[in-house]
Amino acid sequence: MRRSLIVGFLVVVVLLEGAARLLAPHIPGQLVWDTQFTQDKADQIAAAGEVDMVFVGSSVVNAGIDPGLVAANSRFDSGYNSAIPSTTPSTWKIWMRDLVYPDLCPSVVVIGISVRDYNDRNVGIPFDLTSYLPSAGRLELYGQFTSGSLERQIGRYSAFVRIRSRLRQPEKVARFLVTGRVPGWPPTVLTPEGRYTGWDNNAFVDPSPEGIEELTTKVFVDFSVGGAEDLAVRSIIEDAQSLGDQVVIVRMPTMNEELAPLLPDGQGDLDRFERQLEKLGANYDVPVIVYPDMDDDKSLFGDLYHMNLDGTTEFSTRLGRDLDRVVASSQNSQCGTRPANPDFATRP
Amino acid sequence: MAFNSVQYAILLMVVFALYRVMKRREQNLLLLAASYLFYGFWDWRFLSLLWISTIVDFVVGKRMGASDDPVVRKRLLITSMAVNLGILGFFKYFGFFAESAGELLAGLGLEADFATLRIVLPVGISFYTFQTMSYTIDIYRREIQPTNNLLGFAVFVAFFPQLVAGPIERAKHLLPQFLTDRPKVAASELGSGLLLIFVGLFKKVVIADALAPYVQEAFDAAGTAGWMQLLVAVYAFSLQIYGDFSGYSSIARGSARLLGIDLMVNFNQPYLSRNITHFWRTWHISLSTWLRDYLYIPLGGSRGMAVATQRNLMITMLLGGLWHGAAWTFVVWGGLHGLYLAVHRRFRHRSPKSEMDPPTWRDVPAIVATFHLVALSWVFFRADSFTQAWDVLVGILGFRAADGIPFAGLALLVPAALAALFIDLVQRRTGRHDGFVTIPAFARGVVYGAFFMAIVLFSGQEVVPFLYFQF
Repeated sequence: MRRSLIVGFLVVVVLLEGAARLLAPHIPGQLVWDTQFTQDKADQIAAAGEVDMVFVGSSVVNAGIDPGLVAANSRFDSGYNSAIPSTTPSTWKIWMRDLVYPDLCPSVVVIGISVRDYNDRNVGIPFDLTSYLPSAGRLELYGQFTSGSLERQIGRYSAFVRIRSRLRQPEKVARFLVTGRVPGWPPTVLTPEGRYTGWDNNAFVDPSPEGIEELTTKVFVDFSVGGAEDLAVRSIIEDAQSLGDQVVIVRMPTMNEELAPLLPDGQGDLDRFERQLEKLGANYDVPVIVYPDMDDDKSLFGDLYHMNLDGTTEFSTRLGRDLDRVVASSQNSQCGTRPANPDFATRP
Repeated sequence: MAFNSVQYAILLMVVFALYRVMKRREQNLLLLAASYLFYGFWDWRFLSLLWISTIVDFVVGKRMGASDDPVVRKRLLITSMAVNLGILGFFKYFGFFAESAGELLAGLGLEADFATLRIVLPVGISFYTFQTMSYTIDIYRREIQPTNNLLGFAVFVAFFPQLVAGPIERAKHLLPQFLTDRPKVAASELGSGLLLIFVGLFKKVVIADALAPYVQEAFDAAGTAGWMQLLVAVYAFSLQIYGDFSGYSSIARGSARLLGIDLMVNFNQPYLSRNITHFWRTWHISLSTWLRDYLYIPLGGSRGMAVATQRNLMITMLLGGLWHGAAWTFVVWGGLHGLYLAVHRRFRHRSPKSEMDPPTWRDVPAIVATFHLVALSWVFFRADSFTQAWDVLVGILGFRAADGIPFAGLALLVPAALAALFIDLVQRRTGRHDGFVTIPAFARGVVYGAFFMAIVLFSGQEVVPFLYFQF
């Protein structure tokens, strides 16, 4: 009797495990980092090897800089777009220390900043440090054991465990199998150099009332520069310079005429932001590249700050030429090492 | 420390291992220490409330038992009630009533500055205060004798498997089990206890927690979501709360059974009820019988005129609603059930069956209708506010336009509903909550395998607290 019970139990376990093994190659694996973007980029960085240039920033850089085009228009051979959407410099600083400096060993670090990234009182960033710092992928990077670590160990032997987080959403699994596309699921349409191509074919779209409300009440609320985000950019520059890397700041083009009314002090805030970048450049002897003629050209944008393919092509081409001009030719950079005491705490 | 946590599994295993080699007094000491540790995991400061209830009711019980003077006995009973209801009232209802009074006065154009304190609600306070109150009330009624064993009584109040969410036990059933030697637990009882824990875990992790995010999302979007999404969410919440609370009760009973302690049945396939009266005899039985014995019957029960009976039902259910939480939405929930019960009582003589007769296939329409009445009431139970409840009801009844069929919700709801129905039918057919032990071994293995894999599938997500912990 006990044998029949065990056999019945094992039949189900084996059948379900077998079904999972058949299904596993056709659906994406478990999310280890906080978002699909960070996970995909972490995977790409792990596989990329060393590159000459890295580009850091938010979604504005993620969509707007094509490392291949920049390299093709400069003397540099390779580049990687390490920008992460929905983040600010506070996250970039840690992301760079975690993965970019140790694994990509760049000799040139290009920091792309838009006015959207720089408000110290921004409360509209959904995925920022709170979810990034304690994400399982990051914890494991530093050898921390998590419940997810155990799960992945078991997942090496069991496909059912490996894909269980996806199986919890059966409707999405079915949709993915049929259409190959589920929002938020990979592929996140990244090029091998890390650029997000999702905005490429977009004609300019006016912001929705909800989008405007988010900008005015969250992203640009009580606009203030020169605080925590500025300090984070300074840290990025200092980290890069301590490794012998060349640093370049790029003020990303945006639809300033439409953004200005959404800022508390309008054009005054945009000017303050730009002056702050100039001050940074002067303080650290870092070139600051700006293309004012690209601002406000709707044909180059998908929305108020994300460039479409035309914008990306023009911007990356010009950036490549200018990097050739402003970056010194002799470099003696070295790879970074991961911090001994990384911060894993969640932030309120 | 939630039942679906690693900490609880470790606690239970350690207690079980030590318990097996101990004598009764040592066992009680172990259970008391484990219970206080279990409770202290949430907030050790509130152990003091547990101690106050324990000491007051122990002393009151002893003195009441020693006195034949009706006046003295009544004073002692009032003391017990005042302390227990005072604690409950202060921690659970002070802010609610102060806020409601403030709003009322503001509505009349009067400024009222009530110093509403931000009072933290101690976990399980509604459960253990009701349990200890039943002890003193039963002594007052001379239904039980008081105990002289403080240790046994303290374990009765704090017994960890049922401390924070019931079942609300009666002293006459649970207390003697801590006062007499317990026989060694037989292997079949251990198996039965483990099975109850397993089924309870399945109900919590696979049925309740799997549906919780969908319900949350839909209720958060109550003002804009389409009618089908909201309807699926209401069904899903009906299942979620059943899986959550009956799962908790099953784990509680299973844990206790491993220690040779019998806890009362708290759920008996309530969604297979043919009418609302039957529903209340099978849903949260320990609370409904408590309300019946200590509130409804003292109010007069069904002894008077029909109107008086209906009034008593309504008062009982309104207070039952308020017991769940300090919010008017719970009062409406209780009021709806009071209304249902009053209407059913008025017309039940037309049914050829007693409400406790087992349902048959011909009762399916009545079962479905009863389920929908209950589901309607859950809208108020689940909603954060009247506005949200209203948005849900208007969205459904007004057939608010939607993006399409909510496949994401249905893909979770349908398997969860079938699983819940399967468990209920097995329990109903066998008449046992561990009814799976009666089915053929191979089929049982298949069921256990499926349950196990489903638990593996849905475990390891963000822990969803048991819903009734908030009460």
